[in-house]
Amino acid sequence: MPEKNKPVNTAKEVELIKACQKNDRKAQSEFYRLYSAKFLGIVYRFAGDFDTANDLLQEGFIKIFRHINDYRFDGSFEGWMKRIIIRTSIDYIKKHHKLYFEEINEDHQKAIKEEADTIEKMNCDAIINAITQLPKNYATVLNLYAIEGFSYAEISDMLEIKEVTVRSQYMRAKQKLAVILSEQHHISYAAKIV
Amino acid sequence: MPQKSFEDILKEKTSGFSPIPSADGWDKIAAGLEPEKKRRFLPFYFLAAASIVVVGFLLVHFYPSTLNETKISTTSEPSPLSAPRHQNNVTETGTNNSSSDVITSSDNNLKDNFGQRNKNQNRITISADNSNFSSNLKDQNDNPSILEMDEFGNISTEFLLQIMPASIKFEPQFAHTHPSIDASEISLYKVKIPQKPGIEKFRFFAGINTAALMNSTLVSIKDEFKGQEPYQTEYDNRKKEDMGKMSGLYGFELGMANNRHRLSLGLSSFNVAYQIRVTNANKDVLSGLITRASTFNYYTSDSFVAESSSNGGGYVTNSFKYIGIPLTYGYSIYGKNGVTFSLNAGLQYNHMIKNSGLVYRESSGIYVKQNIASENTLSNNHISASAGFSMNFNMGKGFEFYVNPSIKRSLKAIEQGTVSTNYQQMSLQVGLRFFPGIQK
Repeated sequence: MPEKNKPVNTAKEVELIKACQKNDRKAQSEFYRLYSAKFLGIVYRFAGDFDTANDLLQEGFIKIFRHINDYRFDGSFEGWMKRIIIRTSIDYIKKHHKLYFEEINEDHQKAIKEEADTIEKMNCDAIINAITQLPKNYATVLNLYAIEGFSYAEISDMLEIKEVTVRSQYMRAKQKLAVILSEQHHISYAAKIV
Repeated sequence: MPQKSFEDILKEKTSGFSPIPSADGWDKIAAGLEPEKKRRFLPFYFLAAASIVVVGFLLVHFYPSTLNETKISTTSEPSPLSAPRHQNNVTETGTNNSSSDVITSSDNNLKDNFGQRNKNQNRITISADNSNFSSNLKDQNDNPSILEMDEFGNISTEFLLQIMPASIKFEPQFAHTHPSIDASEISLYKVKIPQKPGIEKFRFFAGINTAALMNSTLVSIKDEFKGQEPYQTEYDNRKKEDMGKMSGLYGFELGMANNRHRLSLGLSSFNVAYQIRVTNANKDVLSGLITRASTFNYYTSDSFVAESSSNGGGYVTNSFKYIGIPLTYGYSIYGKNGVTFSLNAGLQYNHMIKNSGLVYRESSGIYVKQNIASENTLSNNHISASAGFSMNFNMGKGFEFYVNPSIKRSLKAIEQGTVSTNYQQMSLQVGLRFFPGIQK
């Protein structure tokens, strides 16, 4: 799991969590203040626009606070919250976007280095912008695997598709991302890849 | 140094992306965390509030005029009903065996004389005065209750406390309160009702019912009349023998009902009663302590209330007996958590079948006991109208708490040749019912 190695919660977090479990609005507000920007960055990568991302963020926080009594202190609270936020985003995408996951059997090893070189030259905003331009199926897999650290198996369960499909979609997502980034900087890495 | 992977670079590059959330984000979350509004309750509470307002208006509007109508003779001089008990100028013209005192009652008894009491099974109820009606064919989870069996009989038991408004204007020198307790009302009904939930098909039902009632009237003397005769003596006597009653009622009912509507036609009568006196000396307002019971007696009429009493406590008064035939319609709305709100209205035809009581009437300054049966002063037939609502709360395990305010008015004077005897009553019933047959 992505957050398995994260340190346990701080004493302040534990105090806030317990207050939230008593439905303390002040503590809930504090958690929102601490994590809303960070989580908005996550949902924006999935949603692709800020209006939807803000809605998903609010929906995610409501779920967090309503189900906070289910948190058993057996991992970091931030990781627990993030999973809810991501699950909320995926549920939205599955509901509002038709995701076509085609099985592709290709050798992508040649492209790996070029893709890494490409994103190395880009700044954060450019990469985020490129991710939002990806088809939703690509962006979803890319976000889950490359950025959030879920395994292919976990993504397979989350999206209810075959693991091999996740793998191939991820490879196509990387290629597509590189193409978009290249176009943004007028560098034709696409020709080299293909 | 190993080269960073695509994933590591991507994660690193995007980790700092933290846009600013919308300004009203937290407000929306806080609003979303508030308990959900029970929108479906809106019409329920609206109707409940509207009914309270309507009934309250009717109570306020009609009650004072009723008092003035009923006992206009009490405003300028001592009425027969407030005559001193020690007066010896009472002449007995009737056949009663009592000899001395005139005592009092008040209009609280009207309801018991002309009301009818029908009670049926398992949360289908017509309560006191033919004015309170409730129907609840479903349990608190809106599931079909045991009532939705094909056919069955069931017994319910009810305890209720009924409070009548104080009739301060009734006798200018006295104040009255009229608490009463109806206890152990038992109904037995055989019903046919919809077999499946949601079926809006009327089925017929029929049943019998009976009830035991207790009533008391509490009297206090006003400050300005304290120490003045004859009021003080009258009050002293009342303290010794304030009035309470126990009675039994019976009747039957038939009709048809579905999950929300109920139309019933009944037949009810007033049975024998006996008096209970309430005594609480040296206090202006008497509490409802029941101290002794007297002999059996027919129920008495307010309009002709006068009772004779011997030292031994043998009360025989003006008594008459009516049979009422109520036609009632009720409509129920089911709320959440076992709350049911019911509106009801109806007419009742009343026919006097017996009139054997006596009254004390003022005649040339003295109070004369008269046999009103021979005078034929009472109307043999009259019609009364009633309306009210009830709120029932299913408490589970067969118990139901209810609140029933109601109002009732006769459409014709019950005393012939006068215009002052249209009676009117208001009641507020608060009670607890037990239905052994309810299943969860």
